[in-house]
Amino acid sequence: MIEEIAVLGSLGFFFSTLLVVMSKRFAVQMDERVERVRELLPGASCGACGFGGCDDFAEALVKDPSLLGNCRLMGADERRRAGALLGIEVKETWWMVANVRCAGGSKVLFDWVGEKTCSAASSLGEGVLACKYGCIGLGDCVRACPFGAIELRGNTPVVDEDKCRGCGLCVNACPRGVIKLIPKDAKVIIRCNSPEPGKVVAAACPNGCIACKLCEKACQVGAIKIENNLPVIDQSLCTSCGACVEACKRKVLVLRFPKPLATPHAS
Amino acid sequence: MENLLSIVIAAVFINNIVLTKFLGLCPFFGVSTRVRNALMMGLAVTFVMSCASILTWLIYEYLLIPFEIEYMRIVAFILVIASFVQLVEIVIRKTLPDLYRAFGIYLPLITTNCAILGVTLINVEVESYSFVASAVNGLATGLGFSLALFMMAGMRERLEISEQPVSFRGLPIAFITASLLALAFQGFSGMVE
Repeated sequence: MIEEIAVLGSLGFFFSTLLVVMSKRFAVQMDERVERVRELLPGASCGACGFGGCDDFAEALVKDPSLLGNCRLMGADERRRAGALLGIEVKETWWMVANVRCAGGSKVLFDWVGEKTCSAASSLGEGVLACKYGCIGLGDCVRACPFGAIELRGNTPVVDEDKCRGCGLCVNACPRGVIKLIPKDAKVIIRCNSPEPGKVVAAACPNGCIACKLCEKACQVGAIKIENNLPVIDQSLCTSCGACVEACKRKVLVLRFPKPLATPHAS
Repeated sequence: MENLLSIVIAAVFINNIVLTKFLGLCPFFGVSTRVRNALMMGLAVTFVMSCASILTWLIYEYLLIPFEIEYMRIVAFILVIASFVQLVEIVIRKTLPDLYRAFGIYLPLITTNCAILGVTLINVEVESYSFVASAVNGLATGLGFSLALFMMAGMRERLEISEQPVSFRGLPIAFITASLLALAFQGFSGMVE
């Protein structure tokens, strides 16, 4: 009886002493903020911030809080709390906004009396519209938006860019891929989604892009190229001069900002 | 040498700790959803198992037997294993932060893994192995655990993307898979004396 107590007791005492000594000797000096900032990061370790992962990014953040805007996945709340933790003011900065690439106006092939959702209406044949790529306008994106940033005006969804946070849920919700995320500082946007040749588009819709290349010719800096029968704009070259917008006979291109914006990326 | 080889083969295949002895089933089902995680867990278990085998054998031989308190081995072994894992965690955290991050939750998780205690008890009690044999058995059993976990994880990754009846999805199909795997391992029995 005494032996058991003595042996096991001393064994326990030995190990506990060892643990105490070792935990002192090998104590890791860690800024406790690193851990707390790390908890606020998304944890996806996607690398978009330019660091090896969320762990590395958290360490870098504590040293240089101005990097906080580099994380694209963080929610607004987390960003604000991380900012408070790091002692900096966080302005709401969002990189991407949703852009509806259709102005509406395609001819309707038949009346849709089924369930009033885009996915249902696009499931029959090639959809209710003459244009296979156009917006059906039954609001799947509106229902998908958690921020209430999209509303239907007439039959086309309109994105409230102050509310849009670029999460991309509407992009996934749209059965026809009409909505795309664009950089928040995109200067000229495209309001057509149809890669069909001009003839087909013209037959289906008065507002679609017919790939006439007038915008490409009008652009002074060569920022517009027609690819897949749709204009593709190099936003880094674009000077927001508006020449392409004026040249477009079908009002497919829309100027978002009258003059170049200062880059909103810095937080 | 031949003896050690037969210990290894026995521990990995014939008396596989998971599929034949049915010890350590919790991590076998818990951590076998991704191959990467399974390998990490297998590595950690192998490491702890080998070290625990060595440590507990020494404690048993030079502390418990001389004082004639072998019947307290379970208490003593739990004490040793838990302290050891804790110690390793502290040291690794300081000296090898990358390894510490890679091990993550798995290292402390092993503290309460019954397979570790099972192996140490088998070493001194069932088989009465020598010191070297105990260490080899610990290592080989850990490898056997890793093998079982790895195979299970590979199959579950494929199961996830294949069509199954609704009622079988998730754990039920994992149990069936495990039982078939265990049956297959029965084929090894009798290979080594």
